[in-house]
Amino acid sequence: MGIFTTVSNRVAAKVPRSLWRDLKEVLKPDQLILDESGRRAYETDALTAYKVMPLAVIMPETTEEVAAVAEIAHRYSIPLVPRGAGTSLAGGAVPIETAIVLCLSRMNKIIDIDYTNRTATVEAGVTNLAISQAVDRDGYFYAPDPSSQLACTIAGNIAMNSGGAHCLKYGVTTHNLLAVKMVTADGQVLEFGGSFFDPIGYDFLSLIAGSEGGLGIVTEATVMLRSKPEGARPILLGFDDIDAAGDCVAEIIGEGIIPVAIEFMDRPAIKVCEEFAGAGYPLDVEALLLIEVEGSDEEIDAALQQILRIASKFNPSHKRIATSAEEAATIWHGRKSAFGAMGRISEYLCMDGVIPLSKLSTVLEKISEICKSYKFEVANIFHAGDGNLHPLIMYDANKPGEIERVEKCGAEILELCVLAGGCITGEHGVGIEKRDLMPLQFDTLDFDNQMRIKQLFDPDWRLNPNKVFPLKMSQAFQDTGSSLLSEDDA
Amino acid sequence: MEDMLTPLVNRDLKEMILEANNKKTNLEILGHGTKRTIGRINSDATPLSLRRLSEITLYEPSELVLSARAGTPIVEIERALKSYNQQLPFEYLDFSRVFGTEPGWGTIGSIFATNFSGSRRILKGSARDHLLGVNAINGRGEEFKSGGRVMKNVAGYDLAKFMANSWGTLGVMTDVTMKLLPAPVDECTLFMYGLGEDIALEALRAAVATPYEISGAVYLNQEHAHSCLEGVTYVRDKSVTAMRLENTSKSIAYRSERIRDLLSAFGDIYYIDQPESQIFWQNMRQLMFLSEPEDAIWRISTTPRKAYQSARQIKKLVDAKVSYDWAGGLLWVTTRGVSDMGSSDIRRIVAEAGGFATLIRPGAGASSDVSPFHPLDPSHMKLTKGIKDMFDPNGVLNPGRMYDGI
Repeated sequence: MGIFTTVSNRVAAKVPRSLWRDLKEVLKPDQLILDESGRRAYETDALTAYKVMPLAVIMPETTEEVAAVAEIAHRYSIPLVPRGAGTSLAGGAVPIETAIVLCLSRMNKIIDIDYTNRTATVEAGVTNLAISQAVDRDGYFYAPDPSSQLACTIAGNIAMNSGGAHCLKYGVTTHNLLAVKMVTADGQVLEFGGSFFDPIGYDFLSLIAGSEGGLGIVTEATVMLRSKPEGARPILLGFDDIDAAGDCVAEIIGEGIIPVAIEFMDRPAIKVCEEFAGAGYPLDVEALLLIEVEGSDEEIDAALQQILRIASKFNPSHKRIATSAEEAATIWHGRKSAFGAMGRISEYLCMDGVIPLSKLSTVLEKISEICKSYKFEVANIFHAGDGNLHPLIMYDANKPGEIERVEKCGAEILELCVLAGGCITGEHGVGIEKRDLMPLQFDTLDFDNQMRIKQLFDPDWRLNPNKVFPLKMSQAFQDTGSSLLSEDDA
Repeated sequence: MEDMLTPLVNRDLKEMILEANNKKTNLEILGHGTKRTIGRINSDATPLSLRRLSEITLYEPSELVLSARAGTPIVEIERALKSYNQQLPFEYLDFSRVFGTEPGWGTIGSIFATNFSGSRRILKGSARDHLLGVNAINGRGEEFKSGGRVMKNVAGYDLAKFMANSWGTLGVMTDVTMKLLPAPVDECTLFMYGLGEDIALEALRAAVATPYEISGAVYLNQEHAHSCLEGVTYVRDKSVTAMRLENTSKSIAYRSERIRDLLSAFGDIYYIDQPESQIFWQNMRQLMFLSEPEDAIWRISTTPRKAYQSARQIKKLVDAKVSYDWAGGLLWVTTRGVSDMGSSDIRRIVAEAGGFATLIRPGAGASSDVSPFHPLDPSHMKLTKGIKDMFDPNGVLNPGRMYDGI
């Protein structure tokens, strides 16, 4: 692992000229980007430590164009890297130098909104937020809300099975997806699902959501729309110790209350967010909970009072109920800008482990120890309701060797999450960032059963190559039909 | 008593699968057999029941998570959940009334493997949606796992959810981990009587479009309604349109009033409080409205926009009764006296509207060559065969149960 920067002229020279001729036959001139400066914009995503110049970038505008390009790429054995807005924090859209990037951002039409079916059918490059905006005035929304929702695309969300702060109540992408149109590795167009619940036969949508673009290129999706609640308001609760905050969350859930979101921030995270957003967060607490409930004004008041009653058992030193929509928006703005705020003061690596809630204080203590041992500062943001922990490890990217060190530090944290009963990624995906950590969670047979599916959809392993699986294991599987490594490779 | 394999530990199960591969025999995978007659029956297969793999292995109420061995009866899981005022987020279907088996004995493995979801599907999702992790043994005898015990997990392909709805044709689940929810403090149901189908669907759609979180939106025609209302006070000989609210008592009081106002133009609305509401939805879960033993039973998931039109077309061509769940997204159709049970008409109409029709039970005297599962188009069949070959290359697990060659 580490930084890779290459310019692929050397690679381009090996590609038959007829490839470009064939591509130009199916594309308009401005859809094929070959010049170096044009390609450079696609050499990385939001995991900027990794950079690889692709062979070319193609900007398709229709499913038919995607299919035509896929068919040509199939004939010439060219790898394809599908890309939405490039917001992946896991390197999910980082190309390899022999690949063509298929950037779907021009496919940004909302095709159909159907309130009778409660569905929206959109092209792959429509942004997450654009769906909710399109239906907002009619009282609907699209539920998954990743922090990058202003920019990230629906196909990227499907690839990574994205979640967000509100998925505690509404689920992640896989729970809100009804159908996709998908181009296969050899250029066929397949459709899965429809404007109805549950699959016909095997549940291919459950595989496609979270497959990180490795099974096909999604060009259209039909998603569920939900009715907007009458209102929503958060409460802020500050605690002098982390245990109290964790126990408070467990008690709220134990009492039968499922808020729409329960967000946790530790002291360093609170400071960074407050300095950036001026959200009115208290700076003298160890842990802050941001809990949001929905309903009518009376329902919200009742739920917040109940939460306050439970919280009082844990002696919160700060309590503040949002009294207006503006105040609620300010409070959320602080939390939602956490990553951007952190990026202003330091390079950071954002981890995405998941842990059982009961292990929160032990895990946070150990994270702090691990980071101290590497001499890194860390801030923790946590979707407390569903156990998804985002430690942001701050490091100096200009210092030689720091990237390798911060990756090692992150790997130790994810190992800790797995040992606590959790997993290495809750919503960001594996990408290239975590592929070598997958054996923390899976053994050879687990991998074989996943890789056979990859093999079925993409026999040449050309779609979004080198993602999800450890490189040596996927190579072993392609060579021998088993991901078991030989003694030399293990 | 027929010969039945009943492994006690995973190792035995694995050996049974390997032996079936070696001897070129095949296995019928079941729990207590409550859904055994759904799908194609393979009389050559040796039954293999998971009923001895029965235990709740993890239950953390404050984390809303439970793991159980696949053969654990649902009744045991519900008993455990009740002591902490929790419940499964989805409703499962209990086929005991339809097939004359014992209620509550469906195993948790079979609930996920078949992925039938009841009325709450419309608000809270399906069984599959709440399946967090699976341990399984595939047709090659390989033990594998996917997912885990935490609420979110996007590491690798989601084989756990893929196992749901695969009817034991890819692997035998040995352990399942699921998400839970607190049980609602209170519930009520709003009934409207005697509405025509199209008007009823319009009312249901208006109700689910509100922010009031309707967790059941059902229309039962006059004949179906009668048998589903056992134990409930109701107006006889009329169709029933029912909407459920589950929440705190205060919320229910407020929300039911709002819905009453909203739907006042559709007719009178009757308030059914918690005890009777619970009975009604239990009757729904047990499919009591489909209890007529002579009838063939179809379950059709379809595009809500086209539901009424599809039902009309079906009734024009076949002697059929239609009721609706999921505010029109699910049709329950009973047919009578047609040798193919209306299969060709129903499947053609549903295919045009979008969706699929599953034959839950053939009617009396019906022909046996109707496919219980909705036929796949060639590209899906090719992928389906490819998947089957990967997980179960010798076809030892439930061969033919879903489709020929699968």
